[in-house]
Amino acid sequence: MDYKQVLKKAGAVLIALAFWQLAAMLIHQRILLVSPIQVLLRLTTIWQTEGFFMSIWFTFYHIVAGYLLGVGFGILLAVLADRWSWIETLLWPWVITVKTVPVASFVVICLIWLSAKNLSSFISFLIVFPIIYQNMLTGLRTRDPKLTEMAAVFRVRGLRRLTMITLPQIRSYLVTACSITAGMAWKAGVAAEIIGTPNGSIGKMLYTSKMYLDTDDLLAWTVIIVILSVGFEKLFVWLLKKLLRDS
Amino acid sequence: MNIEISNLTKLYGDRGIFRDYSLTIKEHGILVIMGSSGAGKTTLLRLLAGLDYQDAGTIKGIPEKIGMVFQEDRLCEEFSAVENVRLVLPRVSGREKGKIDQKIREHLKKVGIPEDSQNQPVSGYSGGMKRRVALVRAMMADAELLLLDEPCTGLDEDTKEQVMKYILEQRRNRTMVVVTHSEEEAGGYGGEFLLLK
Repeated sequence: MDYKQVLKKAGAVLIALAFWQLAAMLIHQRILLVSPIQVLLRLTTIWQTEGFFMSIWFTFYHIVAGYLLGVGFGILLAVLADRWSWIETLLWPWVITVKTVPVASFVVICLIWLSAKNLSSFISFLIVFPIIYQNMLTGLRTRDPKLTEMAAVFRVRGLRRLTMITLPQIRSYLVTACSITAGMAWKAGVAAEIIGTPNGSIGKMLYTSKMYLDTDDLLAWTVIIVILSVGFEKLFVWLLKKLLRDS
Repeated sequence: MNIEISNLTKLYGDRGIFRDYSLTIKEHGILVIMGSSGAGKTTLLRLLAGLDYQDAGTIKGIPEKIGMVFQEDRLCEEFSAVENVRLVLPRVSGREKGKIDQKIREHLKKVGIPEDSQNQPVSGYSGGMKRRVALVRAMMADAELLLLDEPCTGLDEDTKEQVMKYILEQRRNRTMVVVTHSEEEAGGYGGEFLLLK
């Protein structure tokens, strides 16, 4: 991104914040809408809240675990489905179901079987898995058959074949899918926590803030979720790119 | 061991590329195949490489280890020339790897790939340079049979001469089948001729 683009985007953010500040001043009802300055001020003190760091760790740990499981299973099953088409057929109804059923329905259904504590992991997994699986499968299916023939003639096998022939061809599919799903896992995971309200989670903190009409806290926690989500996505995608390039 | 092609039939739809065709390729020999487009030159190479299957007939005596220059370069575009060649060589580590890389560099130099570009991704190479990397890859491979499909395509006259010299030098008595359109090039290999119609 060039310097001018960064400036333009920063300008757009500033305008949006000014608009928000103006709206808060006009409404003048802290319960309905707090100003960005008030949210910023709350962010400087919210870390002193009891259980702040534990809540962040709890939510981070569960969502990231679900995300990584989704990525792992998505890759594994795509590789198997690419090799044996009957696996793709077998998985088809599950993938379609997971993709079409609303997250909220899944959360409520899963609450019957799972403890609220582990719900966000499972929901993150459900959101991530089908997208990783389908992107990986598309990547594997669009590999250049000419390179596959070359590898067969020269008897290139194993790790060399994976790192020099397969990975470069599927890298963009995998990185894109991981980038998209990282944000989705956080959205769905936190939504599951709000419905399940497991003790010591960010979801519970958000729910409590809403119950007490503590809008400062509600928005401050939301900002923290956004920071965690974006930070995790950037870090994971950076690590993934580095791993795939260096492999 | 000679390669024996007996009563080969290869069809593409209703069209017969080969019908009841027989041929012997002598062990350690050079066979230069010429012919018009669609005569089956590349098909024959693909059958020998095991990339295509005949509809009838047998092909016997094909060694397990094959080195091939395909009609297209088929390089791993984001890797360097050295890495592309190393891909088909036996895996080594440590000091041995350094020796192998040095050998690859010497081969690449022999076909006119300058040392300063040997570590650059081949995606930035010209068509002629890519062709030469594909050729070095095939010639350096641990192969008993070399299949070269128009190895000098896209090369200027001077480079072609340099490359043909390299091919003959590196053949090292291995059985070689070359497809070419150029009569002059065909004469340069000094093997048996086969004209496919």
